[in-house]
Amino acid sequence: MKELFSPRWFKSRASESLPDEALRRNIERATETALKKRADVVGAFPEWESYRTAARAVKEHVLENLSSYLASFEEHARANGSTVLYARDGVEACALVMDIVLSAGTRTVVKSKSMTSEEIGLSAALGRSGIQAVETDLGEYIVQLAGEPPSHITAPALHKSRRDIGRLFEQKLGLPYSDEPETLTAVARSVLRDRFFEAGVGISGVNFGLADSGAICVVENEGNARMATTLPPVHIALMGVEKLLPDMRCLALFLDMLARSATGQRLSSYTSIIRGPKRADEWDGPDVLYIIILDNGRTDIFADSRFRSVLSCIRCGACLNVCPVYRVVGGHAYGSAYPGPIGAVLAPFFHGKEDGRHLPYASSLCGACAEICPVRIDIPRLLLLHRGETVRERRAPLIERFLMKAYACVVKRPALYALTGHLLRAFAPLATDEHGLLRIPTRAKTRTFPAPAEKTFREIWKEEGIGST
Amino acid sequence: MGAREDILHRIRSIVGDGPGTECARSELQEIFRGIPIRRIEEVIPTFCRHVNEAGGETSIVHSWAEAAHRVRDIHPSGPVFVAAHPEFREAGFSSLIQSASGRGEVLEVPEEGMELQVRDVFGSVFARNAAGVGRALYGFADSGAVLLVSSPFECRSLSLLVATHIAVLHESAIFPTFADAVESIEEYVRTSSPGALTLVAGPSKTADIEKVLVTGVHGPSRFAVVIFQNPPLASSTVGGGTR
Amino acid sequence: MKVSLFIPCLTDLFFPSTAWSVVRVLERLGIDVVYDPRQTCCGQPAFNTGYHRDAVVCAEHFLDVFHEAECIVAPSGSCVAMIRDYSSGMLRLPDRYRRLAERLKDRVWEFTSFLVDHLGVTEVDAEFPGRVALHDSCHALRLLGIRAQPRALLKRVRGLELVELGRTGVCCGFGGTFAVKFADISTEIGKEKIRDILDAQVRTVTAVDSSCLMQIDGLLRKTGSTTTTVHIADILASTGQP
Ligand code: SF4
Repeated sequence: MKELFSPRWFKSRASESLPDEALRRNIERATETALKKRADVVGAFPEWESYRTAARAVKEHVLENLSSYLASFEEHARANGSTVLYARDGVEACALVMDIVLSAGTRTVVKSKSMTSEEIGLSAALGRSGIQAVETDLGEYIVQLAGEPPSHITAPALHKSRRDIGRLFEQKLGLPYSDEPETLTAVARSVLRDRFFEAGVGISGVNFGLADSGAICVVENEGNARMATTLPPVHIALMGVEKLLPDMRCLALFLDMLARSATGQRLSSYTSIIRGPKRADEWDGPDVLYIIILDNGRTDIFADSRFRSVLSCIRCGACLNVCPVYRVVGGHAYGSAYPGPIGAVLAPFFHGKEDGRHLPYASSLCGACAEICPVRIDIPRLLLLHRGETVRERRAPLIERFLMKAYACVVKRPALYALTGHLLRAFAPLATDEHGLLRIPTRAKTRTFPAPAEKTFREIWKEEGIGST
Repeated sequence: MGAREDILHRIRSIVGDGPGTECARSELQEIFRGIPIRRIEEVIPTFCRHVNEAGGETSIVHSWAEAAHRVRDIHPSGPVFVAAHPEFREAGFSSLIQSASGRGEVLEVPEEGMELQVRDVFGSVFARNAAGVGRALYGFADSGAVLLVSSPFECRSLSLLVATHIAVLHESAIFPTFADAVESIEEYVRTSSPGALTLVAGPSKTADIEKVLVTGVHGPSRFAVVIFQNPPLASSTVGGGTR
Repeated sequence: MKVSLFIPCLTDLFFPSTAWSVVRVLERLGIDVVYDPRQTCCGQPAFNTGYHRDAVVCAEHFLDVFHEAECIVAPSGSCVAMIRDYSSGMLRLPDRYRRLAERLKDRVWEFTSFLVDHLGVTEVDAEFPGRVALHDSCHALRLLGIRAQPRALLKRVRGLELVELGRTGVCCGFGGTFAVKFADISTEIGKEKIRDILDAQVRTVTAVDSSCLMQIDGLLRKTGSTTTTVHIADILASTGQP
């Protein structure tokens, strides 16, 4: 299963999901709604463009000063009573979590939504040691019940219809079938409420870490993250090393952008700024807070200045919503914790250059992602860079390399180039659909291909004798 | 090399130690100079409107007695947990709620010397239909959010493990935006050092099932802000904030 | 004023009449049009597929042919975006060529943008009766900011009723070699576009790029719809006479 869930199989997975009309409509409904709401709130925010510029500048500033911000974060977090740990990769991070969970003597862990934990396969790792990690975000809970990975960064179950979810709850929880969102939500609420009280450890992600205070910020709508970070005696926060912001003023800037981009809200329901474990005189809150700072390939991205901008990503998911490819293939086809345009940029880093090489090609380069990205990541440009690497490292298909060589040969020889018109006309009858012998593979099945004109423009121009420069 | 040293070493080898805090600070200043200041007209009505749009409700009161009645209007039956906030105590807020018409016990949480655990208080069936009444430190017109701070008098569960969360907020504590309040918040944090600060905008909600909005997923299904207007104004509601 | 035409490969091979339309419109405006037959391709197919070194070959050839041109006009946003990008550093051009590219950048225009932004013309005395939908070609829209220009021109065409698609600024799914590498996905994206077009109930779909229109047309034909695709230059060149 793990092996199958790899971007290497993008193409075959995509062709499985393409004919799925129901899936398409589920995705369309979800993405259209999110985009419309986003357009409304962003439209009412005249400063948006300058905020985008500033947000990106802040992120770059943080990376430029990462050593000192990290040192400051760590120092303040410790002073506030948190324990700061580091993990080079997913395996180390999972091992750290495991140690903490085991020493807490608990079998139940509640998780709030965290893309970082998906990235490192934390739930599976805990499961292998007999520890039940319960996803508590409704969407995550749904996909966990279904035994699937999330299909979207911010809306994990967006590929499922209410009927799918109704049937799933009926099967897995043995409840009478209902497809009312209210009823289904109430079921999840009551099932999960007990888990929050049982769990010895709560695990969350981190949206932002504040370098000047050692605080972490967790953004959500349901209240499950507040519960997971308040009720269990131990709270583990998983934070990518790039998540730091200098201070609360910068946080204000990013909060203005995150919810607007993700869901079209002005602000998410709950934004928790957790400064440490509960104070001695406070009544509730975790007794201990572990912050695990994760590298897992991030410093490799950091080291390559061409790709550094992807570390500015705030995982808002807007680029997925607007991506024409994502919208027809769905999140699962990508075979990565991060689907969509940003996932295509991350794949060669997180899944290796061989397995990750297809995703950067799975884009029409329409640029809608770059246009919507709140931190102005020029995703198409980064995809082109990946493509360039793939070619440079000779991972591209042989036939393609050959054709491109031929092409480069022709373009610098106008006489030869002019011949292509003749050639095309000669071969066209063989290639056009229906009766053609060659058939342009697959293209012709669903689209007709125009026949070449009788004469190319250059031929006509010459005949008309208007002359040339 | 341990993971920490290894990661820090890698980062340092890429960017060095950075140009130092002073330089960093002025660079940040420069970035912020580039963005226009957001102006919010009519702060209070905007706040009320945005609370409403986030799924919450607002009302304006001028006295603690009026506030107590509002609490009972919002939550006519079922238990009410009231924060042990000094300001509430001084005003006798919980007794005022008790004497306002309505059914259900009124309890202060956390009580002094309370041995009970969160689960004992908020995990019971009794609490499922409860309202939690607490203080909000600030409000923000732009987002319709309020800022809660944890303290010995104000527990986190009070706004989380109840069916209805009611936040009492001073009108004068409503800022146009969160950014405008950053200095005040930092000042508060310096003096009181709370374990957690939470921005709350509307009730708990989800749209994970077919984008249908459902409130009360894990947290409260109702969220109300009672705005304390002082000195009192003639009219009792402003900006059509009540539901 | 003298304009050097750049006719992209696709237009040259498949839609030469569109190139003629460009010539006609420009000449109608009293512009001297020249065409250098040494021109070939802008290099985008190679560049977008990752063959950056082969794209450099194209760029150098292009610059050799065009570096002295006063003004270059092409009926394609995509190619113009590529040419304007020569000097951005993504292509490792030798210094000499980079300097040429830098200087050429502001002299190369997409056709509608040339008319509206450079000449300040929106009235070209065209007639084209019927309901027409404009598809915003992605590269023209996002890399060159071409959105208002074609609309301004179409609004002045006699008899033409400009119809906005339900969703504007959404890709047609072509994407160059993407359409070949991921033919199924490209087709499905295109079908979504076709839905919007059929909903709009138009006689004609137009765009500033022939490549998008080729994709759209290929799919429209499969649906049996009578809606046709026409490059915007052909509309602007048309005088109503058949
Ligand atoms: S790349 Fe940009 S749009 Fe996409 S998830 Fe990241 S921040 Fe959001």
